Amino acid sequence: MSGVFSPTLLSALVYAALGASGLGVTVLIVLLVRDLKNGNPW
Amino acid sequence: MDSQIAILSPTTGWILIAGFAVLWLALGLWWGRKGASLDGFMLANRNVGLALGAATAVATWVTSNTTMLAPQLALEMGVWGMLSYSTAAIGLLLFAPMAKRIRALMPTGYTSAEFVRLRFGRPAWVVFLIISLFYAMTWLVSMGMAGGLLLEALAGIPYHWGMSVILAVCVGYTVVGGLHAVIGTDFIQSLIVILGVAVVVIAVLTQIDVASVHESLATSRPALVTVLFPAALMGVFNGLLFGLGEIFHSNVWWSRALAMREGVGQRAYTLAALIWLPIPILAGFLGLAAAGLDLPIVRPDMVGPLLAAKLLGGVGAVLVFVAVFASLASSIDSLLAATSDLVVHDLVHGMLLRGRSDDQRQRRHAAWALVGLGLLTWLLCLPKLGTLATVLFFAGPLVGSTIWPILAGLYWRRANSRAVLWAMISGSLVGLACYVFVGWYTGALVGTTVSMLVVVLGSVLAPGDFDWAKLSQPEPAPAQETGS
Repeated sequence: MSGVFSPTLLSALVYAALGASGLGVTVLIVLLVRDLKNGNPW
Repeated sequence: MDSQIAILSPTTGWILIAGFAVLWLALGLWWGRKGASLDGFMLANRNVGLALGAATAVATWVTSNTTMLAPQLALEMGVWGMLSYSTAAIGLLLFAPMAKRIRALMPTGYTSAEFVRLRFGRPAWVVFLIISLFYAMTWLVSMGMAGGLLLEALAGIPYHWGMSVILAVCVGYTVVGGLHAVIGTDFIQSLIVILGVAVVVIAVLTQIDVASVHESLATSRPALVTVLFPAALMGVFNGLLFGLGEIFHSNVWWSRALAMREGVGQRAYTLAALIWLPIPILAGFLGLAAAGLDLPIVRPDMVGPLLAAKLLGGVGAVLVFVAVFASLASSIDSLLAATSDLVVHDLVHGMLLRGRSDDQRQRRHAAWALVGLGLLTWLLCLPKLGTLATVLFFAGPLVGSTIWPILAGLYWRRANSRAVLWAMISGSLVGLACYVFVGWYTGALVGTTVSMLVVVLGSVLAPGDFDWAKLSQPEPAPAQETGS
């Protein structure tokens, strides 16, 4: 249907957001471990 | 009453609150040992690294409004509503280079209002301070209310009790721990929020797939999946500009830029934007799912928690409770800390005492300011005004009118101080008029546009000539009082 967000697009948005959230958490933890190893998180 | 649909027992709710209260307060006390000096208390000794810097930006921007208002916007404005909230990530992204410049221009600065005073003079400073404090209180009140509503809806805890306890806990650990406690707890809270929202969405997807939600919406509420939805499209731009205005002007973000060690600010804010971006999309999907399922909606801003509770029962309610409680705390503590900096450093030290107080005195005042702000927020939350969207977007025109003054102040040597002053005044007034007479979704858009025109035209017609070095030079000492 034209003029309507497709179910595929909506699915892609939701699953991409889920993947990005998982990646974000991983990056934060890895960075903190690195900063702690360097002895200077703050 | 929301309490009639509670699915957690009040006892469970109180146990969760008590657990969080003990954890945050203990961490606040532990980290607070680093905050004896004014720099330590207000700016975490200006040495925050990338991990904690990025996480605190994420956690602060994941307000309860993200977890509760994003589903509401999706419920009312469909897919565009869901996306409109996520555009607020652009504010973080654009602030990244500004954070670097702020740190470089003001290596010993404390607040955004201090920048405006040094850059544009006292009249603009007063107007900016009024807008900043009004906005900060609006944000604080919207989150205090959200806390009360959440506990009432999910656990049957009376609104006034829930709201009071959340505020008291946040004031408590911020008073004892300063910005160290705020940033440290933000890291944990950011992980809780992201994982909490993601788990709820995954759990929802195990029971209904996206295609079914879409099909149901296309049948029962087709406007929500329509690409051309004028009010929603307007909402996208409004959300974008509101986000820019909130971040560009607010001392919450400036204090973090000043607290991060050299070379960290730009990377931390860029990373924070990318990590934050998917959260409102996930939260918004909960709103779309609720609309697709014809869930009975008692309050639109409670749609996310109610959906999780309906589909996942007690586990869903606890997950949402924990995630929203963390998002509330992460923003309330940040706002309390940044606003108390404004109150102490600008209002008391700058305006009332005219610079005649030393760092240790400001450090003591900061703790009292936090308690006072907590009390004021509590008083304003008592009447339970409107829905979250109404309260939050009322500040839109005001913060929108500060975007161009801040940008011009940071990057345009010829920006005229008088033009900036009138840009903030006219942008706020015209924007508020549109908010009242046209619709909430036009306020920030109009306020920003009017302000931009006044800044640009005023500065082109009567250019200023600012010396950037004035921002980093020590200010002349005020006349000393005798006798003490």
